[in-house]
Amino acid sequence: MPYLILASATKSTLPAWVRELGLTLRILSRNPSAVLGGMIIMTMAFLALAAPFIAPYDPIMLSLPDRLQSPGSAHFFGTDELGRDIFSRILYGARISLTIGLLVVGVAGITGSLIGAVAGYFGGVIDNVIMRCMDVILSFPALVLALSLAAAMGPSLVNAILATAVVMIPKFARLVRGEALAIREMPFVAASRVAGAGHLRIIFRHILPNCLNAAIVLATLTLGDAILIAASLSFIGLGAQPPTPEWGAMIASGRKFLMDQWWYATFPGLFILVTVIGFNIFGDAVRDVLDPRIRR
Amino acid sequence: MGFETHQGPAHVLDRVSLAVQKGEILGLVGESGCGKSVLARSILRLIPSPPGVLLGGQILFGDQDLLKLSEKSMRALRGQQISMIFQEPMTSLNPVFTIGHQMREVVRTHKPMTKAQANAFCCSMLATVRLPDPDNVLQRYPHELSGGMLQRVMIALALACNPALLLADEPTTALDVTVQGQILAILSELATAQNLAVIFVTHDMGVVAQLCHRVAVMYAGQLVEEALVHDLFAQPAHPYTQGLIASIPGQTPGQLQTIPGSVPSALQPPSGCRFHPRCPKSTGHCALHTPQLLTVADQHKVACHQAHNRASV
Amino acid sequence: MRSYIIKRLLAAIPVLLGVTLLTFLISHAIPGDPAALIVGPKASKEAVEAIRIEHGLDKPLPIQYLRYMNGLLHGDLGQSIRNHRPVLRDLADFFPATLELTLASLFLCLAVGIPLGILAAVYRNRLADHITRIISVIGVSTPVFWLGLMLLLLLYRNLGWLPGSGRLDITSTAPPGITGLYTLDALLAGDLGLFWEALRHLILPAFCLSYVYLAVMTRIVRSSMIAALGQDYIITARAHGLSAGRIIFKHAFKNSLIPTITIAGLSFGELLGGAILTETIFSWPGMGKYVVDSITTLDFPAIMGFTLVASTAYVGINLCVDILYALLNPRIRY
Repeated sequence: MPYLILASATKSTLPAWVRELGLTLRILSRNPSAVLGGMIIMTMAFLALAAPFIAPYDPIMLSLPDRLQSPGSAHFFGTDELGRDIFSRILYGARISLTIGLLVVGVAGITGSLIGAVAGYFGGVIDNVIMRCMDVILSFPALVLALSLAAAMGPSLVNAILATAVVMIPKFARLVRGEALAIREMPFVAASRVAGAGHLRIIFRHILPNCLNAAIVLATLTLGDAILIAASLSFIGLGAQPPTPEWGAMIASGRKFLMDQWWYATFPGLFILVTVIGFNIFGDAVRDVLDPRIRR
Repeated sequence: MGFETHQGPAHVLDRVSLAVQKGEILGLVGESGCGKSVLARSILRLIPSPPGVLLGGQILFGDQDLLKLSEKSMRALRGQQISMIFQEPMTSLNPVFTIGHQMREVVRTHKPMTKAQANAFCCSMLATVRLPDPDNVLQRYPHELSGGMLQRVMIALALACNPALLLADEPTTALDVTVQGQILAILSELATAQNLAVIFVTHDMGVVAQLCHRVAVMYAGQLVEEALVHDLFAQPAHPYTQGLIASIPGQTPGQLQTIPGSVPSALQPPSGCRFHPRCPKSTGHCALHTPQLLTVADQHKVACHQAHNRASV
Repeated sequence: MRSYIIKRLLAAIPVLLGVTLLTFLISHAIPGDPAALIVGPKASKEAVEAIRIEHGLDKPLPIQYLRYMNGLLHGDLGQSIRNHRPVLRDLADFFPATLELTLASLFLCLAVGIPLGILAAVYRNRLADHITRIISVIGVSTPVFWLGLMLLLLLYRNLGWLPGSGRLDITSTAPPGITGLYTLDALLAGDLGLFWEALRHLILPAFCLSYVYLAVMTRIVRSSMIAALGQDYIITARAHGLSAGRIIFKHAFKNSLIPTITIAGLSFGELLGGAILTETIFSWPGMGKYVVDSITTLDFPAIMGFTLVASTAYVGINLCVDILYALLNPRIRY
């Protein structure tokens, strides 16, 4: 969970953070949907990490005699047209999907927060120009923009991640800008300016750390969307390329066999659904606990 | 009347018994949070349930027990026989409909009228609350009128169906002092003209003195004193009432009197007399025994051991 | 009111300029060699060079942008690599199918989402609310393309209730094109059989596309209804003896529409994005299927043309929402 990592990274305020984190976790543990969401996320994370140990077969190696086997004791979720075990591919797919989610949100969160902090801190013309640019990105339907960006950069998983991240940037920029506008009026910012701190120092020491809470909440909420958009790109053919066991791409190849081999497309989709549900309900709960201001 | 809260049940109203006659304005006073507004709203059964729970009692209107009526007959009564005006005129009208639309809707709910008839009727009602240019007002949206104007609209609306009882829940608290005076004058005049029974909820003793015939004083969900206005101000029997009267600004020049302490929580009211922790005259007896509301003089009831002793009842 | 609309229209111009600028940058600045993308993957070196000169891709970017804008103003979205037709012509051909699908989904969303949201708000924290919450959490979490496949599997393959692809049976001919919406055109032509056929073909894709949007809609209606029902004027209305139905469906609902339409407009982008996936799954011959087909053939001009049209439509929808907002909310100052 990004919260833990980021929280322990801010060294100077560690005791306060630890206390706050403990409190947050305690409140979350009393919230049934947070617990359910957290359990789903942890299960998926476990499956992803332990994939090499749990997976009964190699996810990529072909085994043509076993092709298109229906689900059974040999293959829980059946096999695909190249004889690969779908269950094993799904386990390895969890690694890919979770990594995609974290990377997208990480890239978008960091870039967006920086952009927003600069806009909010400097205000005026800089703010105006930056935020109008963000508005332009927001005036594209998310999937459409991600699709054309990915198409322009060429179909590959990395490009799909970047394209999805670009689409998510304005969300973070808007949020952090709003916070930064408020923070820059605080006395401690003025005090540090009087003490001779430069703009960069103020942004990194004061503005960004104080936006962290809100940004983390947004990041949690965005993870599910990020996974969905990236999977959609892969489904269209703009993301992960064969033989990568990415869930969206697996559904795309399973589509051809839908009428006779129902299991092929069904199981990877089920895993996307459950994972995204996990992130969504956990994110909602985190928002309710940490920051009631952010609304979808 | 009680409420279910997160911290267990809270008895917001406890053994309150009140009566009001036609043509009479009864003032209901007390600090914020003592239960006056809840009392007014429970008469119309407007307390949402949950969290509100009625634990027992009677509300007699004529000889009907309002608590036993079906929701449907209750609805026919609301606005028709019993009306209410509220503290915040700015938010008490729906912002997305015109004044005329909302007035016509209420009038036509209770009386068979065509739209044109209803419009003319609303116009005449606005004229009785002395709003200038009523035709124009009817076409306005709430945000285009001032608080004083809106409160007059609310009064006109409340009195439109000739109710027998009007519940006024701090109707002047949110208004400027000059506007307050106008609204009180209109209310008082219309109450007399229509022979209305009015329960006027307020925390402002000055307003009570100016408007009401009889006063009931509430403290922490209980009635502590009830008397004719003149008697109450001349001879307040309950220490709390005395405190309230003493704290009207401008009585003793140069100083503001206050009652020390704050209103107790309805979750855990003090034992015995609920006022005893803040009472300057309390004795050990007060902390243990709840005083009854007893008549101490003609039309003057009080719930205080000291006052009972003095009157030796 | 008129001046407000004009002001809104004027404010949309810089946004649209920004949209063209971004599409321009995506098509001219991001790709390693835009000329190669325009001619397509199989072209010879000479052909690429010829295109570079012809499209002025050797000139500086600002000049290229002016040329691009000039083309746009003359309705030139470039030429498709697959069929060498102007992209605008292709998109115009596919537009009605997408319009029919999105309108049908929008209708489903409103017809189901609003009552569901109201129900959840009125019975807040009771069974109806919890069920609605579960439905909408699943809704925002479902991959549209997977949902489409599952619907096909169940209702077409296993139960055989509904047709699974296209706008009509293969043997049928389209009704005379008046609006381009087959259901409507069939009705206008008085052909009830064809109308029924077109409607049956529409149901699965429209339901699939509406589900995600429906979830969003339900949540917004619920939360804005809860906010509206907590207002003072609701107590006033009750105190005046208005019926519960009137209070909920008229007084609270009209107020809740104000925040609802704003967010509904913003979420329309999800509907457009979802249309790409839905049309692909159900072989619905609209712009979304067109763009996915373009991706498989690396028909870059077609992709960018679609991007521009889709985002312009999105901006347009939100412009309409702004105007609707002003009509609903008397507190707006023109």
